[in-house]
Amino acid sequence: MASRRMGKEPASSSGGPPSKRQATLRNHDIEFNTPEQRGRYKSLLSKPLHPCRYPDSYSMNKLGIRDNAYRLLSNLGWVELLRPMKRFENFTYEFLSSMAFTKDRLNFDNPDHSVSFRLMNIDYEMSLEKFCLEMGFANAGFIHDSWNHDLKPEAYNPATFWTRITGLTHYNSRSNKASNIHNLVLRYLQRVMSCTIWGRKEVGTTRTDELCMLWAMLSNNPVNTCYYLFDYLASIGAKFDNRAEIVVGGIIMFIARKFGVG
Amino acid sequence: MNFIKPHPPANTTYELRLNVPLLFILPNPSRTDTGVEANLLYAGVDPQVHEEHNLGEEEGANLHQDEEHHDYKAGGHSHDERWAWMQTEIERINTEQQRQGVEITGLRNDVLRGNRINEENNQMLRNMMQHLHLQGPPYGPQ
Repeated sequence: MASRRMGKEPASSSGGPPSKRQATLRNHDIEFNTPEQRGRYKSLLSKPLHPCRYPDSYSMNKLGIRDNAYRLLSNLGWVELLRPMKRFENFTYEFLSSMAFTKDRLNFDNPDHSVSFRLMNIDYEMSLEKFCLEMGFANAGFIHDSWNHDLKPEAYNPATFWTRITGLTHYNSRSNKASNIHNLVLRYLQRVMSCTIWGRKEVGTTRTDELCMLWAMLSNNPVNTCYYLFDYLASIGAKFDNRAEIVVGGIIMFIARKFGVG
Repeated sequence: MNFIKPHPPANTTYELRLNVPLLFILPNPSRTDTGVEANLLYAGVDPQVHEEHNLGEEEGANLHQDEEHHDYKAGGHSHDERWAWMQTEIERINTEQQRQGVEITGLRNDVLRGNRINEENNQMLRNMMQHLHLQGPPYGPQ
């Protein structure tokens, strides 16, 4: 006769510390390398995680802007980067909790920026140049660092460009409304960037980076895409503000696939 | 404010609106082509009117969907005239919202008291509440 207790969970599972397997599942299968990574992971868990939203070919066709939009995206080599990605949760937490972007601010002519991160519990550490190579982007082109305005391209003036596409004379880098952009293609591309590369929930305001990218697309000037990616991802990973939200999973999945783990 | 909305009557195409007036029907590659400098900034749109809008993008688009069409030619009005027109327009919208609010309250009170209201009034109530972004009453008899 079967015992009445058969099939019940062992007593230890309902009380006491969780088993190793349960803890691993709760940690998104991440083996933490350092206490700092664990701390960042816990901070990230408290923030809502949202999927990226991608350009939609059907809608663009309907609006008659598909060819134009893809032509501008291809000027920066971003067409592949903006293909939809799924199953991003584990990679997102692992990548953001472990990543570091060290900028070389001493050497302006030939900076040696370096990056490090973990994916599938494997450590990656390399120069930005090597990272660009892995991702299929050139380690060249303009960088418009919001922390160092001297780095911006000489021909680019944000206020002038803002006036050129909105007609507004007032430029405020913190409150430039995207809805002020006249041209539908530029407006659409700004929205694409705010839902993917600079993924966030508040998409109504144009970031200075996005404005710079629109200028680069229009003038067919190359930009250092990987620098921008890491700059933004590092800022997301380092934020300890619980109100911040994570909308960059698709970009991290793109990176993971490029490294053969996604 | 720039937004697109379905173009009536068939709603199978879309239209681009800028600061409320209809700019053109989409698709229109010759007007959206970024290779043409003139398409980056559409002439005849007053940026100052635009600058005053502080509404959220989508909310703004919804609010303007059912409003009557106000078009004015660029250069035909001075800045003062335009400002006066805006103030009048804001007052008109405020008055209309207040009137609709009173009407909604009356209709809701009727419902709460158990008075049956006819389907036409019910539909009007739902439309108004939708316009004001409010949750409407459930369908069917109360």
